[in-house]
Amino acid sequence: MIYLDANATSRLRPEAVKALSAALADGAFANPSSVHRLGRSARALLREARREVLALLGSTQGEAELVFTSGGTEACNLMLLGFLGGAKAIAQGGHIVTSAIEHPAVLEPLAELERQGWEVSYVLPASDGRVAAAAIAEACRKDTVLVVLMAANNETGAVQPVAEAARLIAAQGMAPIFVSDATQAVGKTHLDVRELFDAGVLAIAFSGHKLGAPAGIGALVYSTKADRCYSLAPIIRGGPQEQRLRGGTENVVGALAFGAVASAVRQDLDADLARRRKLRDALWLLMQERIPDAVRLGPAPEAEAVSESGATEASVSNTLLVRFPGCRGDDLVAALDLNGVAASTGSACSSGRQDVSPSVRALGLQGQAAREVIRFSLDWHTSSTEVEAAGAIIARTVGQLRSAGAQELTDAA
Amino acid sequence: MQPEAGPFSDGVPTPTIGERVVVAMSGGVDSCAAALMLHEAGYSVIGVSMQVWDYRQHGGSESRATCCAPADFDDAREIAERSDFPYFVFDFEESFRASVIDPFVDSYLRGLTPNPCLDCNRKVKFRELRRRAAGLEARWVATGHYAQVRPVSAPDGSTVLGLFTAVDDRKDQSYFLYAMTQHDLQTTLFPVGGMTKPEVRQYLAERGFKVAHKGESQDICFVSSSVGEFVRRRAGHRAEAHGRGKIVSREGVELGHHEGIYQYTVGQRRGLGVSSSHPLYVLQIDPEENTVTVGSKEELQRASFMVDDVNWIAGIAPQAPLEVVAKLRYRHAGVRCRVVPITAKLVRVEFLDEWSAVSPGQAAVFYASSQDTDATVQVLGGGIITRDRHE
Repeated sequence: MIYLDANATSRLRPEAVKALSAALADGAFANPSSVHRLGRSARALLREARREVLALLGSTQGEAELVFTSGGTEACNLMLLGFLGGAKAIAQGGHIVTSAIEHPAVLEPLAELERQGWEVSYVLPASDGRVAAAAIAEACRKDTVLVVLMAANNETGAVQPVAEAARLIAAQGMAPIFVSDATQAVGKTHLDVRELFDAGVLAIAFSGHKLGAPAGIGALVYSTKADRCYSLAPIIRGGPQEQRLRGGTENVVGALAFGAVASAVRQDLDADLARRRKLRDALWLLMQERIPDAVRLGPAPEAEAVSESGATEASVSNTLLVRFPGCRGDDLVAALDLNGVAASTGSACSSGRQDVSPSVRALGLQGQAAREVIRFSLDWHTSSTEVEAAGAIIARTVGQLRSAGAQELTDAA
Repeated sequence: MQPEAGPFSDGVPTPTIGERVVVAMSGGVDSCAAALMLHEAGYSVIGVSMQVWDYRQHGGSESRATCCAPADFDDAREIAERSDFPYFVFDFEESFRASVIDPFVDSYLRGLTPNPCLDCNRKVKFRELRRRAAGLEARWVATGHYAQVRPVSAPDGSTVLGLFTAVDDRKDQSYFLYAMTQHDLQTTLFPVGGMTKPEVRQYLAERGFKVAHKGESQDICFVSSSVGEFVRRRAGHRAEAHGRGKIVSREGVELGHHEGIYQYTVGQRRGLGVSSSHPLYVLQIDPEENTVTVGSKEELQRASFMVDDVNWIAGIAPQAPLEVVAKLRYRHAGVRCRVVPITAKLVRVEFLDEWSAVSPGQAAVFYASSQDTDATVQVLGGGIITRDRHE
């Protein structure tokens, strides 16, 4: 099976497996809150993991703090609800600005706030999947309390202008809480948390399993400027763990794997970004050659070419969103599964049903065309041999589905 | 390697062992058992669930047992995962809306009493299933319908495939399958057709699947309250034109008011809100005049009726009048009739015993007038009962 669904989750990196085995075999079983030597040892390991994950973001403790969570979704919830300062502040209501293409981990907490009387403005992206920074800034009002904009979209791979939007808002003399879901950007872009924090972003949220750590560990990273200005409150109350922001005994084993993976990703980041970009573009070339009417969606490749500096990347390194006219995405995912390629239509709910997501709708596709979209996302281990094989399988499978569709038309006539 | 004959042979074409079979899995007892039986028989099963109507999106209750809601798929998924065969959920809502819901609402507004399960089976389930199967390079499809396929002699003497009622006559679903063609029957399997429902449940229970004890699904899966309420909500302003109107006698005498013609069915007796010395029945529903005509039981009964859009499963329409047993709705016991061909697609059906009422919009399905040796009956064909035009 050729795995091209890394935006859903990554295969465990060997560094994670090694860290997990070591942690499970000895040392790290103790509670980091315990006073004894084993507890101290666990706490030291946890601190080291925290340092490694911050280092991946180009940051250090002091200027940024990191709260380990159960994953990206919890981190997003903490980032949104925690920064609003608890129930009392939430009850006061206010205005929120976000994009229409956020992940449910952001959209659902916002929907709950709407039910409680908050007003939310959803800014649409352009047809390349990118939200204009100016549109975010324009949507802000005097009573805007919170702005949340994802760093990169999970389906289109479009990188969003988070720092730029934060700077524009600051230039307007406004100071809403600005946070970002960076789940799809960490490890797939040159995400610079220092630049984000300098621009006025207060926190980012992300998960470990998109990088090759196991699911069950994520992080909220916030600027230390933030706790001077705002009261970040826990949403899970319990013991005083994680700077009193997340009660509950720490997932030390998960954090160690996250730390080990973060270290490996950091050391290999430039090479991996270049490698996956190249493979992704090679995959697209193979498709174009064999399926001439295939349409590449999301940020234009030209926008990529001028962004070699890394600072203005238009899309993440690994994502290829494609439309094959006349070939339904859910059919193609199923047929590719049987033919040995794992891909996705972009959003699968737990029931397995595949809906057309707001991110795909926002690309301007109407009706049937919106259902003809499929996402290929390359993982850290994807090889050029696999890409070549996948290209051939995809072309053959699209042909297979199209001839089945043509047969159907003949039968109906 | 020589292809082996499959276990579901009996003179009927069967897939070879290992061949792909796409099984429609609603999540109910019967389709779960069908998939598992084919898997155990050695076929390469691909489970497919068709998401046709999501109650959460249409304001209905989520708790009702329905045939195709996401929660029902859990059991299908469990079977697939424990047996390790591929399983996919496809969204058929658009096709379901266009082929089932909209025609259902339109029919009620036209004064008919449609059976949406017929359209669903024919235009959604089988058509979409075949399309998906072709895309997955599978020639064969299977469902959990209670029906059987067997070779028979066609009127012209050739051997064709016949559709037969199920072994379990209380569960028989052949009524819904009258529109199948020879082409369909050549590549469709009904694995539970030869079993009784208790046997099917036991088969699953023996293997430890909790779906064995699941309840029966409803006939109209997408209507959570009353049909009238559903039609009014879906039709919106179109329902207003067919709202409150007159209830009249056959002579045109106004007897009372109705609250929308789509609330009524020909043959209905209860809930007319008209007082009379003798029981009154709905005789006719006129969408143009927006009236409901009522009368006595005798006036309701007819000597004959017309059936349109007729399909003959053998692929050959009879040239001469044919005696059949006709079922005029699902679970109808059936009555002896003579089918008189008018055109290739249109027939007149005459009652041979007592006269009876018919509901325009329902299917009339024609069964052979003699039983097979094992008490199963051949389904010859069927069509849709048309509105009365000769009165």
